[in-house]
Amino acid sequence: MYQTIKQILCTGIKTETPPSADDALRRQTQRLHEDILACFGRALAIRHVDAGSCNGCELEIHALSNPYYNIEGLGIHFVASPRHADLLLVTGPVSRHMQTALQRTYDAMPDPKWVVAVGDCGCNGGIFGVSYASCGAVSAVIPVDVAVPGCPPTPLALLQGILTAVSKERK
Amino acid sequence: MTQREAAKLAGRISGDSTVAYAWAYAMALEGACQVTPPTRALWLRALLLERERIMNHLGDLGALGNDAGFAFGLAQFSRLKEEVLRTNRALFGHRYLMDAVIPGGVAHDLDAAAKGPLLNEIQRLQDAVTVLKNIYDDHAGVQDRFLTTGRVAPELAARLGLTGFAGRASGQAWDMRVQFPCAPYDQLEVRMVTHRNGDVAARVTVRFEEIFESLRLCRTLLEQLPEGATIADLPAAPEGAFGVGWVEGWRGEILVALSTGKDHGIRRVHAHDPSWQNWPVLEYAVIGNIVPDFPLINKSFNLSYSGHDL
Repeated sequence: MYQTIKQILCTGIKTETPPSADDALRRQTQRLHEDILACFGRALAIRHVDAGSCNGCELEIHALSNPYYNIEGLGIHFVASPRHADLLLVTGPVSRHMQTALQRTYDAMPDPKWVVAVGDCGCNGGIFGVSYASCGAVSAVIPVDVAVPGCPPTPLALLQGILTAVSKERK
Repeated sequence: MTQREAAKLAGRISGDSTVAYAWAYAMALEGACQVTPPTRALWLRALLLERERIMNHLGDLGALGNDAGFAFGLAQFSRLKEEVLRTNRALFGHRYLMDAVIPGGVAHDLDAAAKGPLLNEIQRLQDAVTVLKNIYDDHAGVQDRFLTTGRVAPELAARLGLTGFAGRASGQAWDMRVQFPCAPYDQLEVRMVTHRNGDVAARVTVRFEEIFESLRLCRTLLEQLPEGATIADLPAAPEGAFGVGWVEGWRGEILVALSTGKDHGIRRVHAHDPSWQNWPVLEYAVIGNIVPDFPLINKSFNLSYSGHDL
């Protein structure tokens, strides 16, 4: 116990300041009224779906939970069911096998809801493109609010994308 | 897709093993072209591969602590992993080292000034992981969850061909860096880590020991890094040339077999992930265990979906 407490104290607090929203990442104009956004505040529940990624983006999504980014400290947490989620985070080009599952996940989410497409593959199909096995971009299957490019996008870029989706659009 | 463009795709078959795949693909293509990359490039590839191994073991050891109800482990190990990723970004241009290994050599040379900070980082990791290993070892609750959980007996492992560190934790003493070493591993005398218990605790022990061994290898690689070029010219391979690449990735052995086509194209290529062998073994490993131990057992293997589903 002594070693554990000593290690916690020696490590200190590593959490860094989160980035601010970036309107350039938006794929469509704000779908929600400001008063609804105000209700959400920053208590956000995210459902993540891997629609066919190489798992690079997953590594960075997991990194969001490390002490440097501390996404839970911002009131954002990941949930295990679309029924509990406000925001759908989708990685990968959408493989044909995952197309129906992704559509059904989106449909199962209660309104109002957002979708953030993650990575070059989520944005435009990336290196996998469109083929017999891949539908390409997430927007080819469900409406996308914010797209975060990168291979994989850094945790800061991801956080910025998520915060952009749930923040007020600057007119 | 040309042979060179495919290198980028090879590095995205399973993102957590991007160095291993990129190296195996490069080795296959270099074999087909009959080119040997410069010695310095091979040593740098090994440095990148060992950093990939360390990074993944760190992440999983944290997640294993978390799955046993010890969130402290996740916070500590994910912090260490993040620090390794940031060093990767600063020195090799990418947090996960994607596209750092390219056919013919490596994309980035290592600055002489970077050697000192890297050696310091190795020492810092060595110290921190030692402290955390002691904490895991002394934590009765964590050990209670790890010991005897998800056991794969050596006989079953041998019958189903369990590979990689999971195989080594079940008495399967195979490591391509030891039995089939490509340069520079033929000069490094890799110490293979094995265990016979085959439970989550054994896989955790093997992962800890492999981190220490990889840190030792990184230190040797840095201290004895040969001078010279980091990339060789690749002549066009004739149509129908064949090459094979094999690399001991952090999860296990990765194999790429390549047959060249016309105009720098590819006729056929097969990339083999260790998850192919290990997924069916996971099904056996969970038999007789309580449901809350499933995440723990699953994470102790941490197999790839994309590497298997490619």
